[in-house]
Amino acid sequence: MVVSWWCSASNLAWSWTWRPYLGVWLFVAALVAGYLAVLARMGPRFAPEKPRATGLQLASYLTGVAVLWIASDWPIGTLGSGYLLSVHTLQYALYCLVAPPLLLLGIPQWLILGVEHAAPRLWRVLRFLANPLVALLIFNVVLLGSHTQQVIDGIRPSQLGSFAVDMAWLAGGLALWWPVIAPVPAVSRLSYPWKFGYLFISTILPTVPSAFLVFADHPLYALYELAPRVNGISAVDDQLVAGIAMKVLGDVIVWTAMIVVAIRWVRSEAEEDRMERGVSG
Amino acid sequence: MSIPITQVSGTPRSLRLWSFLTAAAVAVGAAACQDRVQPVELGAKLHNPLYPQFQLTDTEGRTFDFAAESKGSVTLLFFGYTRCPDACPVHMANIAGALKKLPHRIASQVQVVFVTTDPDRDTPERIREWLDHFDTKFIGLTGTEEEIAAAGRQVKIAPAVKEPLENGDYLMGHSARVIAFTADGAGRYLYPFGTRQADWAAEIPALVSWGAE
Repeated sequence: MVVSWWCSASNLAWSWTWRPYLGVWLFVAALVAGYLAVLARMGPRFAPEKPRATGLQLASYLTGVAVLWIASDWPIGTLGSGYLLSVHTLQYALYCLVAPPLLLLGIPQWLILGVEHAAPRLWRVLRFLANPLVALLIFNVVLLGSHTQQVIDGIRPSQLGSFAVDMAWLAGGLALWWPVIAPVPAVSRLSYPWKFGYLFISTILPTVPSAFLVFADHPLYALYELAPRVNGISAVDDQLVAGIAMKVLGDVIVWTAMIVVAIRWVRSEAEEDRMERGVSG
Repeated sequence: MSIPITQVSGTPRSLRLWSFLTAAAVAVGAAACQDRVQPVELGAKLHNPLYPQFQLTDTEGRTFDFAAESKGSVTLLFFGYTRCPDACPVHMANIAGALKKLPHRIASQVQVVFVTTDPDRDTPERIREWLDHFDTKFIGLTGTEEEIAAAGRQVKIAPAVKEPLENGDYLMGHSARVIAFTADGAGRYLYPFGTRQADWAAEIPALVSWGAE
């Protein structure tokens, strides 16, 4: 059995036979080991009390890593990188919209505060990235750039190119969610209404590639048009599903986050009211 | 919780790190660009047009005289097999997709003829069922191995070869080119695997109008 480094296009007919990808396993192992190493190394300096990460933070981070693993490995990684555009879109949603918020929710507050003191330059970068305009710019450049024909037909077919696209999605997703989920107010000062509006705005531009996919006369990407067929799904139907999925999946995920923001907003207002009544009473 | 005020001066290390990351990103990008989807040469013109004279059997059991049937309309001739995992379904789907988007007055002047290279497994019923996935008007032809090989030779197509698989099954190695015949019955252009729907949508009207100028 051939062990590949990363999922990419191949001329092999699709089969439901498992294929191993060494790079994916190393990537997942590095994410877990890196997280635990940072907690162990920085914890004694910045968080003497244990536990250094709550159970919820740990669970959130590991779930985020698991999502990345599912998105990268066989079969989703294999199908999405070389056979079906619709699965490529699912990968995009997992990489950009599902995994990043889970990973960010897994970062303890003391760790970010520790960065301010241990690595002030990185702290400034984190604050810069928490600017919603910067974050939206990065996310939308990644989204649009990674769906150009040049990238999908020119870069995506190789293992390194596929890896680069996946990492760009992850970076774009982390940038998108950072202003909303940054665990330290000093990094992101967005109020609840601004977070709500920011998330809403983030759903606008993905409509463009989605519409192109849905309304195109012919398949847009040679990579998926000329790939061996999977279960007889035509390239046109695949592209149609991809276009709809890009919009629907993205909207469902971001609107769910908006609902969470709205609930927290209402709760915080109610809390303030209660405190005001308590003070005046 | 008290936070130590000691700051780690990381300028040289962070500079090295950023330099490394930038170099790595450039290297990844450069390496990634090495392996891209290659453009294909579309509609390679045959210097000596083909005028094949063969008869095979269609999926209804009738004799199909290619020379007679290919006159009066554009004919796209392809040799393949229904269990083909890659080129055959992609070619058929792309031609069908393009024809569906073209105006009826153009699409109605095009016939697609599929000749099986695997007559042992491709029964007329199976060919019909498979072609109907793409377009019910596509014509499927079969015959004996010798008849099919002889037809292939007339259009300069190498005979298909059985490629055994570990599970006892087999694939057929075969030409992945579509031969385009203009309405005068002459095979004039070759379209390789890699011809896309958008390409067919541009090429088919030109084939239909061939000789009209």
